[in-house]
Amino acid sequence: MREGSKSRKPIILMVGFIVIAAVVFAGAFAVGRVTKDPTTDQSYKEVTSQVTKTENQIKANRSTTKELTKKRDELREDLAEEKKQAEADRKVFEQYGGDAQAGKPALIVESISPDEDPLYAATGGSIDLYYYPKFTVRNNTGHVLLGAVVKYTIIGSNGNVLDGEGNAYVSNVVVYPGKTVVAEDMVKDAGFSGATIKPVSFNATVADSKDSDSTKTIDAQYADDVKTVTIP
Amino acid sequence: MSQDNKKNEHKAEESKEPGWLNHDDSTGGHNAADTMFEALDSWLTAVKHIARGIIRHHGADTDEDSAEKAGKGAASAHIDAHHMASPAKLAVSLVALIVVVWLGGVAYGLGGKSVVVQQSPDYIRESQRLTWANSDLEESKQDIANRERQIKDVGTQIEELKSERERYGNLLEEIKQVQRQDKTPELSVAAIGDVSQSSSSYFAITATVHNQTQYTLTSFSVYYQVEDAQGNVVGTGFAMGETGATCAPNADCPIRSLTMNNPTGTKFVPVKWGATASDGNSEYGRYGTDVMTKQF
Repeated sequence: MREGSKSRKPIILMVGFIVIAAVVFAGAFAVGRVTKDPTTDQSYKEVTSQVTKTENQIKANRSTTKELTKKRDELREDLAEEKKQAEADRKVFEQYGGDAQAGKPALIVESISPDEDPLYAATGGSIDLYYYPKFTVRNNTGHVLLGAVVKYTIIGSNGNVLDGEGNAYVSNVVVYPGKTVVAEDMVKDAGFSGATIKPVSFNATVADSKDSDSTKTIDAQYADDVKTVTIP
Repeated sequence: MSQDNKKNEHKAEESKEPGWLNHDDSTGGHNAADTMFEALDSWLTAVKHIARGIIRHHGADTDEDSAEKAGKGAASAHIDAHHMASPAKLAVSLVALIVVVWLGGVAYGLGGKSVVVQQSPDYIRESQRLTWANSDLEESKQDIANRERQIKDVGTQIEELKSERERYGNLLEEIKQVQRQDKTPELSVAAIGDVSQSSSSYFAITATVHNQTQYTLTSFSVYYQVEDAQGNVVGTGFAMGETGATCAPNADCPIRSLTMNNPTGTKFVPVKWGATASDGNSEYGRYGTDVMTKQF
């Protein structure tokens, strides 16, 4: 019994040691597990730093968005103003504007009326006969026409120039592009019956937007195929 | 139990057999837990002695040690005696201690590592925050993209409007310009009358102007045009006061125009005004489109 106990002693000590070691291990393990602070873990820190990083980005983005929103709203205000302006402009332009017709003179002769003075007929020819040649011209200047002079000649049926210095005027008018206006003259008869009234040139006074309230003049000769009229 | 009793008991056991064996026999059944605790006890005692041995010269106070150990039980004393007797055993114990401490350290570390950080509430909370943050970040990026798109859209629209206005060019400016009065009219149009046949050849148009000046006007006239429905200017003329008539300051004064062209069906539009004061000073100006007009 005593011999046996002696031989078993190291084994028991060993077993004891293992048990203690196991207990210590288990205890330390448990303590380690319980006292483990996940917030000190690298992966936790990474997540946290990622969160911080992301939140900073969000903050920056939101601030950018705020600025952009402000910019957008300002631009929208500008746009609204611009639209309002454009709408008004469009209305004005559609009503009054118009593109000039290419290949045609700035003042297109639409019609010419020789118009005899009605008083002549009314008085039974007891007074001198005057004609009131009227030139209906279309504003093709591409500008607002403020006045015009149409120079014309009266050519007899034999080809002789009966009057070479006719000037039909119109002034103090506002003629929008594409609209017509009537230039008028008064000329004393000189055997004009059967003669032809032929426009020669014109002189158009138009608004000049380059300088407020200033005007400029456009003048040109009429081509040979210009509209004419024969005096009855 | 008194100290003496314990000591006696201890001595008695020591003389017989090792305490742990004796105990084992006396209980009859082999209890694993008991054995474990005894072993632990023995071992801890050994550790204690090793510690003491390091501090003091061992052997000199064996008895005293033994006496102190009385409470720990007979077995400890027995093992103790063996340890004290052998430096080899002391070394083994020291190694065992180091191993245990090391094991404890390792276990502590492993225990920490055994915690799945990804499943800890802290980590989960942070992960959730990250998820929200990422979602918010996406949203904030979309917000920026939206704003940029909106700004681009608005910019495009503004550009389109600008180019449209450019297409209108200077003409629009001209139109606007001629539609504004160039100065405050000295003669405002207060009323426009109807057309009447003045004679066999002439038609009369009457109107009333208001003298806006502080001067008596000796001449006051309004230049007008008459327009057809298309806006063509079919006639022009001017209306003025009767010969010799004057217009007092701030007074309404009649004007009249005679024309050979029947204005019926046309629109009467004042274009300009002219006023000459009694001091001979003349002023002319253009009306704006806000001037009074009349459809005959």
